[in-house]
This record gives sequence, structure tokens and C-alpha cells, in this order.
Amino acid sequence: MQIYVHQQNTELKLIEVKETITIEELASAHGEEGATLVWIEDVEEVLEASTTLADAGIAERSHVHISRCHRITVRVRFGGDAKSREFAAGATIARVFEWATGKHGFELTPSERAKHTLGICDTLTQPDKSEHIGSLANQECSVCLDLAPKERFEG
Amino acid sequence: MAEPAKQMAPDEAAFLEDLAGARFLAGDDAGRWRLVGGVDWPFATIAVSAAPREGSPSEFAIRFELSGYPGSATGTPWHLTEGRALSAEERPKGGRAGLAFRPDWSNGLALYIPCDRVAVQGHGDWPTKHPGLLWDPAVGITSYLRVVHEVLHEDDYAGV
Repeated sequence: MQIYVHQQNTELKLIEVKETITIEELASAHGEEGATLVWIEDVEEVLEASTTLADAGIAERSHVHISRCHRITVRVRFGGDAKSREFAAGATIARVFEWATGKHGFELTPSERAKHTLGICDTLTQPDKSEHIGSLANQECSVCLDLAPKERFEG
Repeated sequence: MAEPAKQMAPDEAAFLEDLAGARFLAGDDAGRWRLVGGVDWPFATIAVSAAPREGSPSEFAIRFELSGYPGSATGTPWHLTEGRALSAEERPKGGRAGLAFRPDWSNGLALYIPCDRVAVQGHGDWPTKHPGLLWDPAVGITSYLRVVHEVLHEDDYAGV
């Protein structure tokens, strides 16, 4: 079967694997050096190394994340304030946005929420909501994001 | 005598490679966009899904002109069955979607977004004002599709 593999600072890959291989074998064959931990997209718990892909519930065209980081520390800046939280490496930017704009984050109104997006601090990059937070992590397993107004392309 | 096989141009080969790549396929699998029909180089039509709105289609097709790919691309909002640009009445309204699909820009033949080749040529200040929304040759067609998908899923997108 084919599955999507996300990793730290690496292009998204679509790879061919057998569903009978273990998580450990998947990480060993397809992970970057030192990356032994595997998550299913938007699932908090890391997968057991000895479990097969089939038993872990990884199906055709599933998205997984392979990382050396146990958790990713995410810091979001907004309006002169900042809030931090740890996420699994396979958490999508959409999930981080939900937290950052929700009651445990900056508690934006629905109207404000619709007008904002997440961008990588001090860059012009706005990651797609389907990207994994672990893909954006630095060597210290952390990411800084700005909750910024969406650009209106007028004029 | 058999005709010699036509050699594929580098821009067409690069586009086909991106269509088969993980970025495009992941969006296709997630129902965000789909290639409609084949590639008739330098044209390809891709339908992008839209948030549900009463009386509105679930997707909007864009007919891309891709010569020079992955250097740039321009897209026309496209009527799939009639093979023409969408009329003003058929285009998305509200918010950034309404802006992107405005019918009064370039005769409605190009999307009004910074990643569109024609639109950015008409706006010399966009590269500095909207660098995050520019076409990215390293990402290719999905850099354009992500912007279109995003504006069609914003709360202020009002349907047609």
C-alpha cells in the first residue's frame, strides 16, 4: 500500500510499504537519522514500535509522521502576548490553529478567527493547514508561529 | 514510415511530475482538488472544492495555462460542461473568494490573486505587499491551489 510520510524539514513523501511491517521497520527504512517515533496524523499517542502498520490502523494513503522529537513545543505570538503548548509531531497546522484561537489560546471571536492565519515567526511563510507541526520544528523540537491577519490582495 | 516520437517539453514534464507528486496527490485524496480530464499542454483543468453554500457548486474549475512551468501559471475560472470562462453570476462571491474570482479583472480570464502570473504582472507592488501568497516554483501548482482552496473555505465566502 501507499502512505504519506511527513518529517522534520523534509518534503512530504508518498511511499510504498507492506502493511505487515512494524512501526520500527517503517521508521528505520524511511525515517531521517535518529527518527524512531511514529504518529498517525492528528493522533496524540506515539505508535508502539512492535505494532504492524495494519494493527496500528494505518491504511492506504494514511498520513504518518516520523520524528526524533517526543513532543513539539509550539509558541504562538499574538498582539504582544505569547502562549505555548506541546503537540505531537503529527498534529496538523489546522489543529494548532484551533488551539491558538480557542479558549485555551487567544480566544478569538468567530469573526476574528476567520480573519487570521498562522505564519512562521520572522518569515513570510504561511504553512498550509494540512502540514504537520513536526515538519516545521527546529533542532530543539520547537516552533514559533505568529497569529496574523490574512492578507487581502486589493489595489 | 513511423513518425518519430514527440519529445516532451521540459515544462510539460515538470508539470506531469508535480501531478504525480505527494503534494498534489495528498490534496486530491483529501478532496481538496482534482484534475479534470487529461492534460492538453499547455492547458490543464483542475477543480477546487468549495465550502457548502446553499445553491452553490461544491467545486470550481480553473483552466490553467502552464507554459514555462514551474516558473509561473495563470488560471481562468472555467465552466466545465460549456468550456468557457465563468460568467459573473457563476463566480464565487464574498470575502477573498469574491476578490479572487472578480469578473472585472483582465476580462475575467485570470484569477485576481498574487500567485497568478497575469494578476501579479498588473500589480508591481504585490511581490512586496503579499510575498507569502506569491507563486512558488519549488512548490508548483499546489502553491496556487492551496490559495484558491483556502479562500473558498473562509467564513465570508458566500457562494455564487
